[in-house]
Amino acid sequence: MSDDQDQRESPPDFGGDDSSKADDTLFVSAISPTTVDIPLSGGEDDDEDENPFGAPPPTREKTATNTTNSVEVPVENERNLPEPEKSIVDIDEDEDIFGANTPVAAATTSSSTPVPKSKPATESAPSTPIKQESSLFSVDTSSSSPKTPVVKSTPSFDSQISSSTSTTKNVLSGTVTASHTVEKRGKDNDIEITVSDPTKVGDGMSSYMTYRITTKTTLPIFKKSEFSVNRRFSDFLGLHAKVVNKHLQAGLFLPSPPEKDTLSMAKVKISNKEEAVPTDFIDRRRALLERYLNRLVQHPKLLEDTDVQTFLEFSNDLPKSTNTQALSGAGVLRALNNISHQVTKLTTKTSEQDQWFEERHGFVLELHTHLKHLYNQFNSLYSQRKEAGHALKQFSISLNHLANTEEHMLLSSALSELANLEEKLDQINNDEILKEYSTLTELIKEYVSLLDMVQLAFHERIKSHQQWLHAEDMLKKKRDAKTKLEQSPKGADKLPQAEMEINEWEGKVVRGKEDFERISSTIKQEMEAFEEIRLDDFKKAFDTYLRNVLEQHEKILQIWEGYLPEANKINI
Amino acid sequence: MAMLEPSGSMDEIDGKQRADTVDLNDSDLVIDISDALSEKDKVKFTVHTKTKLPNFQNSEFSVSRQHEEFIWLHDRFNESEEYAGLIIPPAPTRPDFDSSRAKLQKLSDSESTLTKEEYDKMKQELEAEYLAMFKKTVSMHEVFLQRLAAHPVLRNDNNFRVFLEYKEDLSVRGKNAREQISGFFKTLTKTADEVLLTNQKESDEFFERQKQFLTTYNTKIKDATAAADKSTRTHKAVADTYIKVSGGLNTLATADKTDLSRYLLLLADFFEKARKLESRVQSDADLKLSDTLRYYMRDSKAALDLMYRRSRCLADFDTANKNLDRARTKNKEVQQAEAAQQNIKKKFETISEKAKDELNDFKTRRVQMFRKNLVELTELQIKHTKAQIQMIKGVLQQSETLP
Repeated sequence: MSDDQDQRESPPDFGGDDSSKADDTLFVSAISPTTVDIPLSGGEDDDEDENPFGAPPPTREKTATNTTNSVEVPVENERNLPEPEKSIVDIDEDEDIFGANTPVAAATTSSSTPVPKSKPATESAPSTPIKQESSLFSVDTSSSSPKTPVVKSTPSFDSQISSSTSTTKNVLSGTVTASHTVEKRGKDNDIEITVSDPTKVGDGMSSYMTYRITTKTTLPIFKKSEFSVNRRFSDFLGLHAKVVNKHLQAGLFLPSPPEKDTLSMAKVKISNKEEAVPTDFIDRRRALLERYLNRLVQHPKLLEDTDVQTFLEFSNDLPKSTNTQALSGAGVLRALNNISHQVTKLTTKTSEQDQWFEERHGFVLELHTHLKHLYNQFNSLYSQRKEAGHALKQFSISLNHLANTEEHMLLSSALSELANLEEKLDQINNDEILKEYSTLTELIKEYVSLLDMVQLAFHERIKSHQQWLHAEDMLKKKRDAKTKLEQSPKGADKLPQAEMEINEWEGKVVRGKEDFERISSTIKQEMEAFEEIRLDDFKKAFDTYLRNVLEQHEKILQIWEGYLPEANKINI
Repeated sequence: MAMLEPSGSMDEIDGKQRADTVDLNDSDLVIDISDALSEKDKVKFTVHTKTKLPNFQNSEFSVSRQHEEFIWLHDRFNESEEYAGLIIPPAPTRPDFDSSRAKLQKLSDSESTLTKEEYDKMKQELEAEYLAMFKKTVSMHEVFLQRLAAHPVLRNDNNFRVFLEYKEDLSVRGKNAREQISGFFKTLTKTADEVLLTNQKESDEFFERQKQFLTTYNTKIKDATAAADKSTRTHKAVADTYIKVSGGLNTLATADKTDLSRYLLLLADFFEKARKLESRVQSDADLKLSDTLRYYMRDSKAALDLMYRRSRCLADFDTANKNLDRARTKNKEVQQAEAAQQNIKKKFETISEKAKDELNDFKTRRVQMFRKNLVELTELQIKHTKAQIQMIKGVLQQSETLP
């Protein structure tokens, strides 16, 4: 009780922060006591020492707040549940808790339960860590009978807060562990996809390239262990659209395929079979498509997606996807730009949790910027290396001419050997160029587009929050309206209607909060997995790169050492 | 730029090498450029001579000379009939720091777009480039004098002595205008020479072969020199791009607060080290290979000049012969014609005889210098590549100790 006071204003503390700034989520549960515990998706692991959800708080002390990860937020005291009615009442006459709470609510899981005026401070929503979505509900369930709030109408919240504080930490870490063991996303996922054999189909402007997609896997969800299909670029864009539609709203970090490039494609289309098809462009696209598919199946949820599986397995051609323009990178950027006009942060008061998201979001943006720069620099390096390669070739040719002109036999052959040497250096240089590009530059490019999608996920969370706020707003309006009706003599007959509407919006608020908590939790998990993978990917890339460079230089050394006797052969 | 330090950033071989470029027969006349000062647009070389030869006033002395005075000296040799049969060592090229200055200017213009480290590094690179160019121009002027000193005939030239000894200015600058005009005529005569040489009937097999050889060789080596320069330049540009990449990785490392940051720093460091080593590889390639090619481009041109002189003489000889025949048939002024013909004949035979020696000497010199430089180039590249391999292995080892 005590600590609750100040908590009201602060959102529940997810980050395991001690300042229990739980928001009052009780209201919701109070309102809908019948609401069942809504198990959060995902986290199954529950190695928390919290009270298992199932354990009813006998003393009402530890209300098992079942969170999705079945981590309980032990409620300290029986102040678990606020008196539903009481809460309602409180709320009604209350100051605009919503308003006050909104920032808090916005914070994290805390529902912006209006805190009864009487106990402003009390109203700390059970600081159910974000992952514990339905703390309210669990609390609710556990204490179905309205209990006299020890302290205030929404008593348990405080307790919840305090308790949740400690819990939060555990829950969070618990969840974290959960994600580790459950969603291991390394490359050891027993599935490997290669994209190969770009083939031109048709002629002229109506032609297109198809790619062979070969999947090798030991996973049981696929019928065979190795299979191939043919797909064209628009198929990829179509798949991406479906994946985005289904999963972005949940906050998943999705990969994205390479961009549509009308100009380069036009060149490909008009080139004859004899002429050189712009292989650079096609090969780069192939490589990025391969990366895209492997990223898709790296994500357990996406691997389960039937559209993804169909894409990989279905042996016939897929129905042609239209509207591919919107699905390409340009479309994503447009979407991002639109969003940036809107609120990019939660405008309400931030809690630790929100700070976490804000900081992460900022980090993502920063990373994105720097990686883009790095990508440009590597591209620049690529061009320079290519130019140096041409110069080497020219030099080799001119040395050969000189060697042929030279009248002194031994000098002539030494010069000729030198020409050979320069040509070999050119070959090594070309090799280096390709390897550097595919090991480093491509990876950087991939991450730039991955980070674009991460930003979209963060924006989905903000959208979700806004929807939640909107629902709370509407609820309040409806309640106000009802109050007015109650006070007016003629209003009585409209009351049932008003009640219905209130119920409706209460439900929406509940769902809004749930959605928000769910997406926040998902993003946290995703972020963690993402960081792990990022570290791993780059470490491996750097290692491969350095080993390649080492190998090249060892070859160069051999070449020069082989030349020394040639040079020494020259005598007058 | 101040005093020139021969060792500098180049290999130790460098300081010693300059003296070895030219075959010094003895220590009777030892010349080096002990100092060089760059002032605004001019470079002042301190020419230091040690000699045992009697025609000099002192046994050791120094004078200050500028580029124009070197050109003056070269022209004296080139235009002298006495040395018509000799290959005159090619004149050094004018010190040109314009491109370096332009680059430096461009860099300071774009200072705001670069990070401090990037700017500093690029400035360092440019300064090193400037220094290298400076050293090269000193070397060129020095080698020119040393070749003169090594030549048994040329070393005794009076103008040469004056150049080395005379404390005052040689007041040749006023002749710049004349130089320009004479330069213009030179290009005219050159084309005429080329035509003459190509069409001339040559009875001497040796000279016929030399004619073919030198003409083609000069062209091919010009191409090779240009290609070598381009190769060095583009490779240096790659090394310079490493600066940017390294900077980008550093920035990323600072922003990234995870374990990855250490890897990024390591890779940034790798690019920085790679840059330095690659720069050295290219400088040495430039010094040993490109410069050798360049020198022999100019030397083969000097040999070609000898051929032109001889062919002009031959043309005059042919004319004298015709005149003599005509005089004999007309029986007029026969004696004069005979005298003239004898004169030219003698001149031509002298040139031819000396030229033969010179051209053989040219071949020997050429082969020697190429051999020396190719061997040194190879040894240096082996050394640098080994260093690169060590460096990369070191980076890999370090990365293994990271989390």
